[in-house]
Amino acid sequence: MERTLILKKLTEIAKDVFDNDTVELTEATTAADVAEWDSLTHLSFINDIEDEFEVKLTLAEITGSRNVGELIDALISHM
Amino acid sequence: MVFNSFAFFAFFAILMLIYGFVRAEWRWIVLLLFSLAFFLSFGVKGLAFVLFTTASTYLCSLGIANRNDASQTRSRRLFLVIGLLSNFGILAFLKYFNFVAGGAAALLGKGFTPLRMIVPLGISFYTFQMMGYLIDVYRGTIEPQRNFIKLLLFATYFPQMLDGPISRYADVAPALFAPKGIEYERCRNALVLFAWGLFKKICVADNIKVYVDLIFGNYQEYAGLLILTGGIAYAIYIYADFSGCIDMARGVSAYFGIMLPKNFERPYFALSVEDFWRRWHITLSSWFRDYLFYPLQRTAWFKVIGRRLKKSGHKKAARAVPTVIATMIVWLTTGLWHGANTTFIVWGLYYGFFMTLGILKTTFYKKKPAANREVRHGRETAVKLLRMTGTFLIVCMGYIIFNSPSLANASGMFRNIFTVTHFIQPAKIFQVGNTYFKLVGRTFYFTVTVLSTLLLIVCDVLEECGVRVGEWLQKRNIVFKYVLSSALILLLLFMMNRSTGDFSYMKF
Repeated sequence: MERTLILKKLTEIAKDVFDNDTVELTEATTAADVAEWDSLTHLSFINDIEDEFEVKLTLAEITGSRNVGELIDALISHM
Repeated sequence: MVFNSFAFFAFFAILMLIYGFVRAEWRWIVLLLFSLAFFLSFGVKGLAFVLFTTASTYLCSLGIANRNDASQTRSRRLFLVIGLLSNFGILAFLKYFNFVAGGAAALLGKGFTPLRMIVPLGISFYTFQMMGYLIDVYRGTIEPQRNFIKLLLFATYFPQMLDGPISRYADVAPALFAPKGIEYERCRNALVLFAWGLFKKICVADNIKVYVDLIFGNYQEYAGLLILTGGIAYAIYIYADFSGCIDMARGVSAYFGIMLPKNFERPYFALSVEDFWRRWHITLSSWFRDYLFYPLQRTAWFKVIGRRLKKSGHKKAARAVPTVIATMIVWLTTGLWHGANTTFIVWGLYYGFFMTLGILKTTFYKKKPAANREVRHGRETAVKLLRMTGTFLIVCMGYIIFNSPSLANASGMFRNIFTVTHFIQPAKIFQVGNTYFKLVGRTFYFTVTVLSTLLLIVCDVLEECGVRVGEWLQKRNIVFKYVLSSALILLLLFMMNRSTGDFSYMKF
């Protein structure tokens, strides 16, 4: 799947999980850029991503991805 | 030997001398030898425990790393479990055996003589550090350290032994095993950071503690506002004490070019309890997040809870419930990390409760934006101040539980705070003020305490508003810097005589 499509899907998931329709993700977006994205909501975000793309990320990927771009890299590696 | 002692000054001076002249490839060995000497200054017996922890971690990490084949997953996991159990087992036995056995004996109506335990220096800190290292090797995020002596340095690195911070191997190892030579600006800044931490400890913390002990030790005589001031004073004391020690640890380490992680980000400016724990004891809360909170929620049980709720149409509950359960487990563990006392368990659950409220609010309550920009800005500032004050009061109430020797003491203090008829007692306030004035050492020391505390608050306010106080000071003229640093050094040398030897978090 193309990165732009993945990014679009991640943005939709983020809007739902963070309950904020104004969230727009780019590959450079980090948790610090989104007010609702913290350690408590991070795993909800990851769980929904895994369900959507039918992959299972490792803990190293979940805690080690520094921005959305690296998260996309991790997703692609499992597809 | 603690950081605020002349013995440590002599120790550090000798280390700086040797470090400055030794060959680059031997610098890490010098740090190891001095770390072991520092450890031994607290007693020989504790060394056996840290050596065992390091050895078991070393062997298990190699056992994990040497089994890369997919068919060897079970044996990798076995090495991980053995390593974690041997690390945690020692900590659990030394810290909790008497508490658990004593409690069980009381329940059964039997007598119990507590065992006399040797609790090694920094055991809660280095144990967690080594467990984190082992888990990172297992996850494949780091390569294991195949040199046992280097791993021993990571475990015993002396700046971290008193109060942490809890470092991650990946962050400190490159600099730890190749520490830098002497560079004027870096070394100067490191010593300034050390001096600032020392100032916080001996000018603020040690003096404020006198007031804390006065209130907590005699709470039965006070009510209302006075008890509350005890909680507030404890908030100032523990922040100055703990962050002061961390500043000294980071300053000493920065001298060698080894940057230890920050542990505080002006915590009393937090707008919520969640925000507070992103600013307070950062390395402990991030450790629990990465090595307990996230792994818990990735287990099958938690996933099943989430999926069942989602299938039954409760999408938001599917997110909230597993998070709440994991949060309560983490906070119970955080409380226990601090010690074997029911007060710490209750303190942990106290924060678990507030974190749960935050999770439920985030999940189920949607904030409506204000109608126009001016109203939004004005309302935001007022709301921000209210939230900051509310969070600070919640934290102070938590400190009353944290610092009480028993739940009976804590509940007595809470009962006295909420005695409405005697909330403000002018005569008692004057009496306490007068007693504190005498206990702290009368006019000079009282003035030092007040001015130092105000300086600490002002610096934190400026930093929170984006002013880099250190950089501002660097830009002043040489005379100003010379006068200021001379006055600070003289004040610190003068106050050193009165400094207590302990840091609040050493007992954990």
